[in-house]
Amino acid sequence: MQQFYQLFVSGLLMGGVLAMLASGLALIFGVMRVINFAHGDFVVLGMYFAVLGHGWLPVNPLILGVGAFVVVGVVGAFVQRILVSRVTGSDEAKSHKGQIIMTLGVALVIQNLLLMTVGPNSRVLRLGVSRSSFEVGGVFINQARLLASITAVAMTAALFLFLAKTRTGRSLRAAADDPVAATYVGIDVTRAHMLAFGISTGMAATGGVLLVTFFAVNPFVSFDFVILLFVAVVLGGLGSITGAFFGGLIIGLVQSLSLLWIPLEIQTLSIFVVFLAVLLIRPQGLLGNSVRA
Amino acid sequence: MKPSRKGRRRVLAASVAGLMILAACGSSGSEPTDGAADDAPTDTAADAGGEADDTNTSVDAVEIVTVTPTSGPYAQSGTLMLEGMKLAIEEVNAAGGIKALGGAELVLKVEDAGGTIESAVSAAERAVSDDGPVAGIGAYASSFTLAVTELTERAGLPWVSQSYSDQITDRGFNYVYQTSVMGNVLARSGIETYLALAEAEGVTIKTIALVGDNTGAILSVFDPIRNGVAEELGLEIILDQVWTPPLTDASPISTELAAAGADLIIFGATSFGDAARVLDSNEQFGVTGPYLAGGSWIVLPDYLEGLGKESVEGIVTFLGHPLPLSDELRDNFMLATGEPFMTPDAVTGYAHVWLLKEAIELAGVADREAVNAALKEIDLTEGPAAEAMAAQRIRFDEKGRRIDAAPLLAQWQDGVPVVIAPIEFAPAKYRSQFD
Repeated sequence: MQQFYQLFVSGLLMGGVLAMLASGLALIFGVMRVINFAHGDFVVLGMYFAVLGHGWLPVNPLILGVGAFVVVGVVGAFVQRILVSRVTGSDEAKSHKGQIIMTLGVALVIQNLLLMTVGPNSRVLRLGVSRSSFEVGGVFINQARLLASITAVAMTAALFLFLAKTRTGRSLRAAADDPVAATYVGIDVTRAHMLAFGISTGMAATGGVLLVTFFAVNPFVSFDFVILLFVAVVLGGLGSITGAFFGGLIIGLVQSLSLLWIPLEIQTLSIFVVFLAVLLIRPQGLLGNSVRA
Repeated sequence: MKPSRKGRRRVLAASVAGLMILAACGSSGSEPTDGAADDAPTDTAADAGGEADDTNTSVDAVEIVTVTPTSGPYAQSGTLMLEGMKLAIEEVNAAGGIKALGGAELVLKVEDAGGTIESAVSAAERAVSDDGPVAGIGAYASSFTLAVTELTERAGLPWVSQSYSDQITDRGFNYVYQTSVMGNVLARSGIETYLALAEAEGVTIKTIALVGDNTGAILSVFDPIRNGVAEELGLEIILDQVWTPPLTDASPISTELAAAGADLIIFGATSFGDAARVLDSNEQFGVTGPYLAGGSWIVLPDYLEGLGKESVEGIVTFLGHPLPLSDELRDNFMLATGEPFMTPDAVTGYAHVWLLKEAIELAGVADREAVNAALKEIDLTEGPAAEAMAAQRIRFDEKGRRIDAAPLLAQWQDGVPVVIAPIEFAPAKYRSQFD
């Protein structure tokens, strides 16, 4: 039973961070119908922001997280305005092909720019919390992961409140529901898309700041988790930010708790087994809307 | 007025011809290095390394190729190996080049193996796509080398590797050579030597935990332990935890290690990120070792800079290839690269270039078959290649395995990895991990 509690807590902590990252990815798809294959690389930008920023200004990672949100968010909005907007449009079938290629291209550019500037060596932001843990009832809780998870959940909650309670948030939802009608009522859809992309990439970068306190970064580390993020988004239901949030939590828990029954070596397999099982029962994902043929 | 159909066809044909000319002149992800003019290596080396040519004894440059990871999770190891090769290339050319070929310059063509077997295979395809190189080096990870040598063997390109999976030279290939100690020998000898060190401290080790990833290099060490070495040495494996990289959470491993309480943890993680997570997590769960690592993957500046010297202090590892045995070599490397120390990967990169240089000298001609024949009969007991390798002799058996390869034990001491065994030439003594 002790092992169950330990695995449950570990899974929940990792799931919290994945949930935030997946929510940001779902926001872009929900508002703009854009599949952003560079999302993992914006996470990596946040990781490097933390590592390099802490070397220059050794402050609390939460402050670095705010900085990363702003800086990378602005970069993301710029990328959307200059590049991604050129391959989005009313014809979804055609624009998806362009989006995939464009965002993959952005990913490659980010990876190779990082390789050229900061080099290939792995780095990790080693703070006191990285190597410290609480013990509660025999369960070890790593402080860095706990901080990351709490911050991630708080940020996601803030996102939900922003979308539900603020005028700007409602305008983003309107632009997502019906861009044409939104334009008729005076919503600047172009600006809404930029804002959504910026918020998403900003959240990704903040997630990266939190991750790097316990997960080493190199220019290509996005490969290690971008697939999990897409699984979380699809599992939760494409376009549903709430679904993506729970999808991320489920992935963290499944990956961890599966060790009660299967070897560590095939741990990741469990995620895809659950993913396929859910889609067989609910093809639209947990919280997605079904579409009649 | 619209151009005629004939005119459009002419324009299209001219465009295609132009693109083909540009493609032939350019390179695809490869770079020659050190001492070569930009346009010289490909043309000259193509002349030098193509079909057997008895009169090809005086050329401007001879090309060798390396497939090494300079991006991805193994980038630091691959980059350091490349730095060792570049140092050797400079020394060879500064000393007059390939004397048997009229002082021909030695040129190194570099292909990035990347971070996956697929990218390594793509790099190998580029490496063998032209007739320029007369031999090659690579590809760091055993998994990569196994795949890469499938292509180099078909191309008849002599290939030297520091990877230590036994499978590499178990396939009956004719053009593949391994300079490292084989995994099974490494495992047995490494553990035996460590047990002796422990005995000298009055500590008897009875139980071991195997904790590692499932890459080719680690499996080549762990599988022999599982399949007889442990039993033969009187050791009981009480925990066997394997993961598929990347490892996102090491706490399950640490929980089991804490519960098992093994006398010794045999540790294998080719990726720094995974190794860092395991070491950090273990520390939090109160698992303090002792650790015996399997391979040179833990002897990297990343561990010093990323984890801090306290986290790695005292960790012992068995190596299939050495740390620098010469102060001059070590100092030259550190001066050239700014690195805090010279790693085994850099030493083997250096030694392999000098080995191929000697093989080309022995062959007397820049030809793959002749160089391959020279590697089969080579027996170096002096010169930079032999001096850089343990046992200071390089010769190969019928399988392509280095006959005199000898395992070493190294230990992190005060932020520097040092050789502690074999005692007869080790510059440092073992520091007890059992206090």
